[in-house]
Amino acid sequence: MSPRPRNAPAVLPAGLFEDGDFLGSVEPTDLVYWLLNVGDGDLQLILLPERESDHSRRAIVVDVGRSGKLPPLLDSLKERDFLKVPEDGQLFPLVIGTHPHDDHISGMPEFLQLWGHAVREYWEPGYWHTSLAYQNTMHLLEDADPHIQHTQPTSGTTRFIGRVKIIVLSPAVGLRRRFDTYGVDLNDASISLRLEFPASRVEKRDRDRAYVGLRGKTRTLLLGADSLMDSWANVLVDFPVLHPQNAPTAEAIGKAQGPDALDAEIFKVPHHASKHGLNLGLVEAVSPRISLISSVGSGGKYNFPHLVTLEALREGIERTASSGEAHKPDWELKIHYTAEEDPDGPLGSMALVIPPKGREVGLWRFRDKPDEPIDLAKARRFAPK
Amino acid sequence: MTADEDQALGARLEKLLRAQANSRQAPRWISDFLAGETADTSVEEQGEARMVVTGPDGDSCEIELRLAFRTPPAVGKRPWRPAGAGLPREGIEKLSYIVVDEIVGDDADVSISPWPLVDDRGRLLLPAEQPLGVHAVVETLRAYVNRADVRAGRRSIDIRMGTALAAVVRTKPLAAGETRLEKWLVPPVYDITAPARDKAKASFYAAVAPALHPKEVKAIREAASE
Repeated sequence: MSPRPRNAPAVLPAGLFEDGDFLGSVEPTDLVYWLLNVGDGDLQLILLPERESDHSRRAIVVDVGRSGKLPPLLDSLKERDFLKVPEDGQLFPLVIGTHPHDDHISGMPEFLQLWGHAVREYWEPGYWHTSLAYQNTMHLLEDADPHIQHTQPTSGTTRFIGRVKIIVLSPAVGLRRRFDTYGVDLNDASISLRLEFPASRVEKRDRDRAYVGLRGKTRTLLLGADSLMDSWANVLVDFPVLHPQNAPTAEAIGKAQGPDALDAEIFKVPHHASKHGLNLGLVEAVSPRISLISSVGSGGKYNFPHLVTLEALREGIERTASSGEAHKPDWELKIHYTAEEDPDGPLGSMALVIPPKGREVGLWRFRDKPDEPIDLAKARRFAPK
Repeated sequence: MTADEDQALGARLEKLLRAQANSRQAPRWISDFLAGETADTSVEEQGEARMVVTGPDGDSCEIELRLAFRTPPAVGKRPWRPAGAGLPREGIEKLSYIVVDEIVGDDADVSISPWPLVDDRGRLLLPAEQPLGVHAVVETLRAYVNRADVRAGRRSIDIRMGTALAAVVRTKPLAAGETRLEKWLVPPVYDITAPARDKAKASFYAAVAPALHPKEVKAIREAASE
């Protein structure tokens, strides 16, 4: 038997998962983040907390890297009354095609055909591509005009949707202006995002109101799309990392913007953990507590995830380079792969149930392969003893 | 559609709705309403796809109905004939649409689709089949496609993200996992990058703003030259 490739996720030990009621575990105030197993590609679904006004959930879609995967999941959630089209018809206030590679938008035409009527706004980087999936996505947006607002955001674009604040980290304006020269790698056109939840808000007070600052009390997600180092270099300029905070400049920027603009509790690792998508400096800037990787897990077209990237991620989470000690297993470092397995088989798609601070983030797995629909009845909760 | 067929479709829709009502343990008044045995209900249509039915006690249910096209509607389709690419006049539909979708280091991800049709607005249509993805080494692909076309005086084909090619593709070896170019990519290979980029650019601009009428373009140009 040939040895397991060093970049393949280790087989998790038995007994780390327990049965449970996935949908029953979600409180009305929780945000649910899905990273679906589509192999070397991305498909992310974010179910927002219930709205106070009508107790309905809305959803954000970030990339649809495969057809046949998202629609059955949406149907399942609708059948269980977990999702329903609200009175204004806008179940999806935002859909994002981070960049026009097939492994990110090949399922977008199918999604827009089936659900475009319920989409309010579509974001894409504005980098046109010769693929037919890209052109057909544009055709569907053309047909939907003016029903769907169509936007090409750049770094700093911010949208508040309910209790969630969405900040575009990339592409930087400087990169955006170079797209048409064909001089920017299409991956570097990617829209990467930081989500804060719950976002700062205003509190009603009798006949007055007051700003409620929640800085430091929010959950944060950084969704890295396929941004590579040219893009991240610009991000580090636009969103400087401020620690150590004993410098007057850092203190001033921190007061204006909040410290550690890249710090994120949950990190969707860029570009399937390729060697060009991440370095140690970026991991240290993000300082993730949970890291998620979407790839086939060694082999595949490009042998993602790359070992050098995994080592940078591990070192950024657990510093052992100086001592020479071995890192803990990835699951103990809270690095999770769509491609990982345990003795019972593939673990597949994952969903994080993210409460406002106070309760633990719950990780659920669905044991699906890339070409299989998700069966909610197979949900198992990650519960290491 | 004849009146009988129309009625048959109505009956089938009613059957689907009643099955949904049963599976959701709907109240009796909803079943009566769907069966045409009108209870004390009111119906409000919202937009072109939704109606809200309110029952005797003020409870309500929503009925959504929409046409979801799994493939683009077949209106005015014809094979795409890009100008200036030197493609053969006959048998163009036997070619495949090949895109260098991604390059990582020395390796390329090549996306292969059946030859696209074009609709009556000049838009390339995505075939129903998912594109085939195949791995290629960039330099090997570059050498092959430039060797594969023996026509004199042709510019060399560059291989970068977005390069689009037209050629006959043998799909059986690809489906079997064959990646050697000579086994699946049949010469000659045509470079259609320029017209494909024109199509992509047009699809982007048509999606962000309505297409202009030729009279509007003429007026804009005349105003700009004054």
